[in-house]
Amino acid sequence: MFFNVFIEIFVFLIACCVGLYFSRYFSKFYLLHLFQLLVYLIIYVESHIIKASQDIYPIFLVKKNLWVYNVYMPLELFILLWAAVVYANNKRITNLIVLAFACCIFSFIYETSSASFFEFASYSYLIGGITIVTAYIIILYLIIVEKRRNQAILPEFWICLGTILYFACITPYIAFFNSLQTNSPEVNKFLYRLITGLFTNVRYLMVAIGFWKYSKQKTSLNSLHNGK
Amino acid sequence: MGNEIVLSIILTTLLIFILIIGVIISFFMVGQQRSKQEIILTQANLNYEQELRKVESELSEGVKRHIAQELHDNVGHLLTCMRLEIENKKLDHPELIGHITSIDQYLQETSDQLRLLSRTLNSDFLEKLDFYAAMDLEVERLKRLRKLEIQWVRQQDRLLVDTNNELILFRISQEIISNALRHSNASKLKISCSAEPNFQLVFEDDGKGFETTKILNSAQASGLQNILKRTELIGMKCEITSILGDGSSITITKKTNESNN
Repeated sequence: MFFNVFIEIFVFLIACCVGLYFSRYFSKFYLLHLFQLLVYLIIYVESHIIKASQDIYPIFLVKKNLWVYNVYMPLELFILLWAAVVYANNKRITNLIVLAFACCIFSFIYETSSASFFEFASYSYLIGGITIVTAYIIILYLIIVEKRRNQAILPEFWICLGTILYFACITPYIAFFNSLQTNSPEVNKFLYRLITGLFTNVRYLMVAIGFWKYSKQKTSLNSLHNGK
Repeated sequence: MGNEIVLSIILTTLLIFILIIGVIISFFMVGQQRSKQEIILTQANLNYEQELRKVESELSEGVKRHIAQELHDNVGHLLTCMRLEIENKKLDHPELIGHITSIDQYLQETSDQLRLLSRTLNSDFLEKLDFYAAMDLEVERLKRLRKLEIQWVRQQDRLLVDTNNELILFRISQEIISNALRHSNASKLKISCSAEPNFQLVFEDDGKGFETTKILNSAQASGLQNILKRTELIGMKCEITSILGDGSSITITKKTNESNN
């Protein structure tokens, strides 16, 4: 448990430090990903504070911390899809993404209103995840097939890859999340640590690589312009 | 039951992971395939461009050869007849010698200029000469025009250029000299050629100069564009530098492996 949390915090901090340090070089696409990272960090800390408070004062905070992720979900979806729109810079793709975002928000409102806001809206998260995966696969296609530069050097490749892997691979687990939480919370906890923990680390590590590579690219370009 | 769910979720996750990796690999393959197709297309366009230039060059050489022949056989012949007529007049009317000597001298000069011009236009004649000999002839012709002071410096006798390309190189030189004569208002033109360590042919004038980028991007620069394309065709590189009011310089060098890359 502590090892997992330690690794997660370590990876977040690396991504945050790299992102914040080089943020002056960032374009809108990278700034949005940095913003998403910072929002996630706040939500992560908040969820852990709520969980710890429940252990200390179980009477006052009877609800679990899952509602925090219900707040975070539309926010994350909005930021990531906005970044995709910024990168694609294509009217047709923008229209499709806006339509998909509207569907996701509708399903989120429907799910939270039909059940409870304090229950994790897993199906909406699932739909949101699929939308993000689709949008970022289109971007990855644009990066690899249309740009056709050395893909390993392209920083956005790493960010897209991390995002796609995370949302695609947690999909099967998220689909069973609420039923596992009700029927076998221990199994749910194990799977959460194994799948979500692993792919969160992979995602933010790739985001950190993307930030670092982009800043490296920018600094080398600047030095070239300055004639160094 | 719990174990089965865990196993199925883990397996599905693994399957999706492999699927994503597969999709990315297929993107890479499509990208590579497109890059290859693009390279083939670029190569085909380059070959087409080269063939087009060759045909253009052959056509232009044919026209020049025809003009040279006409000048030599027809106009040259007429001038010779005129000179013979003048010589006859001199013999028939010795009192007119003083009056027609100057006309005879001008006619002699015209005849010489015409001969030199027809030689520099005739590729059959030039093919028998090397680049240096052709340039000697051209410089001699230009000196006779007395439009500007020409300095022709050659460092070696042996030119390290493919003999098939010498004619094109000479035509490029003619185009550069012609540009200097027509547009630069220069009083001096220096042409220097060195073969060692690397081939280098430099044209420098003290004319009014021009804004390189502006002129090269304008529609008027067809001559300069032609020079650049022709140098590319023979595997050489042309650098044009000019300062407004301070002359211009054109340097033709052989492409090295580094510049090819």
